[in-house]
Amino acid sequence: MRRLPLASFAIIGTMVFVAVFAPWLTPHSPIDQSLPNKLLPPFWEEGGTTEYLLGTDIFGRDLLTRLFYGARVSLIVTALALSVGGGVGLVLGIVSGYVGGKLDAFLMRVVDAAFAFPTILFALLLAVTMGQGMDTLVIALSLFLWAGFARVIRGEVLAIKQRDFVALARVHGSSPARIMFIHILPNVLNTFMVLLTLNVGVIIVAEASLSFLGAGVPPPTPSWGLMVAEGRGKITSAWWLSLIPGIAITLVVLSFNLFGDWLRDRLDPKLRQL
Amino acid sequence: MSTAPILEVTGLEKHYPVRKGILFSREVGRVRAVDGIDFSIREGETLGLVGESGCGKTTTSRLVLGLEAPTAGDVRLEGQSWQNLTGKARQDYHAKVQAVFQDPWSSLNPRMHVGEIVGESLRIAKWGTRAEIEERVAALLVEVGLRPEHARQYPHEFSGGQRQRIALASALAIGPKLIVLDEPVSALDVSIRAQMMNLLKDVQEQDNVAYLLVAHDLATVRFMSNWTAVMYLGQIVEYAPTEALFENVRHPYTRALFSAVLPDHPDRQEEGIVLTGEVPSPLDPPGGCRFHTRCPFAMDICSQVVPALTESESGHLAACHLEE
Amino acid sequence: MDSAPVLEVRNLHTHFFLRRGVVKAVDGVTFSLKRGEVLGLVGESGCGKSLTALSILRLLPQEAARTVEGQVLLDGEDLLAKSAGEMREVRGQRIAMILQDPQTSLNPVFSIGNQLHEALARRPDERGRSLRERAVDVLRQVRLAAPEQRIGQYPHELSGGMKQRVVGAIAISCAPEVMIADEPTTALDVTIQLQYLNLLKELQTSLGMGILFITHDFGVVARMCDRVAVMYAGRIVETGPVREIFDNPVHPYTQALIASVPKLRDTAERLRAIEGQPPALSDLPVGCRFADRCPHAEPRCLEKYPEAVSVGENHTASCWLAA
Ligand SMILES: Nc1ncnc2c1ncn2[C@@H]1O[C@H](COP(=O)(O)OP(=O)(O)OP(=O)(O)O)[C@@H](O)[C@H]1O
Ligand SMILES: Nc1ncnc2c1ncn2[C@@H]1O[C@H](COP(=O)(O)OP(=O)(O)OP(=O)(O)O)[C@@H](O)[C@H]1O
Ligand code: SF4
Ligand code: SF4
Ligand SMILES: [Mg+2]
Ligand SMILES: [Mg+2]
Repeated sequence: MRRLPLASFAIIGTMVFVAVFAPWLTPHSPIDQSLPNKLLPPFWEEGGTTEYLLGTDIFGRDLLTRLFYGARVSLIVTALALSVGGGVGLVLGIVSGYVGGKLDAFLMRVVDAAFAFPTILFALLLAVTMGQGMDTLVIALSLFLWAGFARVIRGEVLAIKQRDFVALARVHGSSPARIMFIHILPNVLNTFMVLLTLNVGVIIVAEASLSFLGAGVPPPTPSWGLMVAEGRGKITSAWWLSLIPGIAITLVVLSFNLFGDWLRDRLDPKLRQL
Repeated sequence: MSTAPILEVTGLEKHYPVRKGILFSREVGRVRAVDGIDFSIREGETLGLVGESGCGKTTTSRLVLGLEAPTAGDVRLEGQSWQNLTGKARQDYHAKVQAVFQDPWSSLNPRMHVGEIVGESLRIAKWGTRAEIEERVAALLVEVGLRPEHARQYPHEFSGGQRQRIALASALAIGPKLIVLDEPVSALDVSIRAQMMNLLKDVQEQDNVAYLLVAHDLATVRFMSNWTAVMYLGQIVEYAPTEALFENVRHPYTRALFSAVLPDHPDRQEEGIVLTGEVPSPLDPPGGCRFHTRCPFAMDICSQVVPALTESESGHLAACHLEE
Repeated sequence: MDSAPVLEVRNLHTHFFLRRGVVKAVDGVTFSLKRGEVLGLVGESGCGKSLTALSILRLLPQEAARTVEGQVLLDGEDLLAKSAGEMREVRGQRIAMILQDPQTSLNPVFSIGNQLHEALARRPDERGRSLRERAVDVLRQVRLAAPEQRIGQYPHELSGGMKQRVVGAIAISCAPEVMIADEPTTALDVTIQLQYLNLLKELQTSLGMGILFITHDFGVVARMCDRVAVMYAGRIVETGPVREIFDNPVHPYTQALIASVPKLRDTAERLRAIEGQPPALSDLPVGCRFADRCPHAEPRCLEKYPEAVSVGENHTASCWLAA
């Protein structure tokens, strides 16, 4: 059995902590500009000060502060997209797998279509028509997520449906809804949990990519993807602007993936093929 | 023992279509899993259903339980057929027939604790308050030889034999008239089997519940049942009171089954009828008597004319041309 | 039958070393199998029958399981002292094994013929016939109908009984001295089971193999075996000629097992069941392992394990009552 990935745990814990307590952790504002202090390098570089530990951007905003608040945005977006997209996928997966027949055939074709859908293009389109914003982002990401959840959960339900306890539930007189949500749902929760953690990384990257392309959270709200995008013009003179948020994204995504793998092995070695 | 049957099965058929082709599937044949059977069970009695693998025993029990709709024929419980019932009436039907299946590892929901599993049918039927249900569950656990504290544990904490007891408690909960037992002891160890069989008998005596016992072991059937029906390829070939059948076997297939029973002592080796050949496929059962491809007594007529079930003394039915 | 033993297992210990403790699945097993004899190894599920077989063949399931003590003598040579390469030879040619589930014993992507060739190729034929001819021959030996056609078929095209015959054909293809059959008929139907047992018996007599027949079914024992070893919680508790075991069981566990089987020929009102459960193999008692289920248990049973004592000709039992 894999050991608990302590480093991942620590990184995820830190991210959640700074996201929740951001306002109390730094004296600076993530949005207010302070042009005299613009483009200060991190403190260990020449010209850096300990007041702005990781330096400042072109508007003189503290990078560390924006990183903290960016963690907030990432977590909120992730939580919303996972509950909407994952939740829809979970319910449709269970219904599709249990009811079967024509409904199942139809839903699975929709899932196939969703996989073939150019998500990024669609998100850009949504941003144009609905306007940029967190709600647009969440909708785009949920549309991207649900199909994967539905497909895996349905497969799981097909196997569970064959078990005798489901037949016995029918013998006891359970309604289909009761069978799906009292008997089957608890048996797919492990898989669901694993899917959730494995998708956190996917969403953080997707959010960053969309923000980078300008279809995500609108400025000046700090988002890690947006920060990378804003700094890319100055990559030679002020490398910290895009590199530091880039490193943050990498570390967090890696941590969530390691954690997801660990959880999967721990809950059920059979899920290893996910 | 009253005379009115609890369960009446008439002309029951279940055919599964077999499809071929990936893109445009078409029906290429039908598996005649159950092909026209009749039987009945009276209150507090046990009918044993024996036969080889694939002869349709499980399909029959699923039809009786209402888990599948028959292709033709009728299943009546206390005179009522479940097919045209809806809503409350259907739930009442379900409260009268319960089941215990073969595999103790798949028949208990691993995410529910024992108390929830045993009380499930009571909660569905809104049988009583929470406390009343808990009390009944405790009593049921004691009845099947477990302890009331076990209600809070999860299935994985129990052995196969104990799990089968939990399954029985869950079947008994709602006070059914009939319990379908599909190979209830086959998955259990020899030493545990006897415990479970004794328990099933005790429960029957105490609760006056009828059993439809599916088994492939004749000794189990003899021990447990009042009536025995022998199935071959979806049909009943012999049907009689257990004692009459064990004393005087009429159908050649039943004789072959008896000969296949392994001796209970090294000196009691019987070389009766050893069948050669495999069981034919129910997809394309042989015409005439379905057993004629393996029957050592087959005659010309056997491959052409379907033998009818004929009665000899005391309700002993057999379907064989030799017996006519 | 008083020929020399072909297979002798002495004081075999195979344990699982797990994080939660040591599971003593095989804990001091001793028995011998004579040439041309069928020895039944019976006992309830989990008592260590399969693990004994796997230890003999050195095919233990995973790293956690190790044979820590004992000897396995095949014609006097200790298999446990052999190298991995030598062991492969032994497995292919001198000891064959048939497992319970024909489904998993055959490779679904190779034809029957291919799988037989593999086994036959290891043994050159004296008469220089082609592999194919020899494959057809062994299939005929296991009474598979139309072997010429079957040879090109794949496992999923055969019924369970036919598959088990193919497994049997592969096993006898090397004319082994010893065959280990681990519940080979449990997955088969009653009528097919009888056919298969008859076949095994015939092959055994014609090839003169010794068979270690693992089963939990006393009917199979009565039909097949010359001698019986009864296993309980990792040890053999009684060994004797089959008639002795049926007529005169000495160990209370053997007695209870035999009494708990429903008989076809009588109408009992109740069966005699053994109450309780075997002890956990990770926490074995010092005394007799059957003590907490035994109707005759005495204080000394709890204190010390009863050594095997002779209770008749070729008949030994490990019980204080017999000592
Ligand atoms: N859902 C299904 N679709 C197609 N064929 C089926 C289906 N269920 C059962 N069958 C076929 O119907 C026949 C009867 O099956 P059934 O399970 O009733 O046999 P059984 O007597 O219970 O056998 P066993 O002793 O192996 O449990 C078999 O040939 C089986 O392959
Ligand atoms: N991988 C494993 N890890 C830990 N314990 C194991 C493992 N495999 C087997 N065991 C233990 O070893 C014991 C012996 O197992 P074995 O398979 O030999 O039993 P058996 O007598 O063949 O039973 P059966 O009749 O069910 O086949 C069992 O009690 C089991 O708990
Ligand atoms: S009808 Fe003919 S083939 Fe069928 S069982 Fe009787 S004798 Fe045999
Ligand atoms: S040694 Fe004692 S406890 Fe063990 S079987 Fe004999 S009498 Fe029973
Ligand atoms: Mg069945
Ligand atoms: Mg085994």
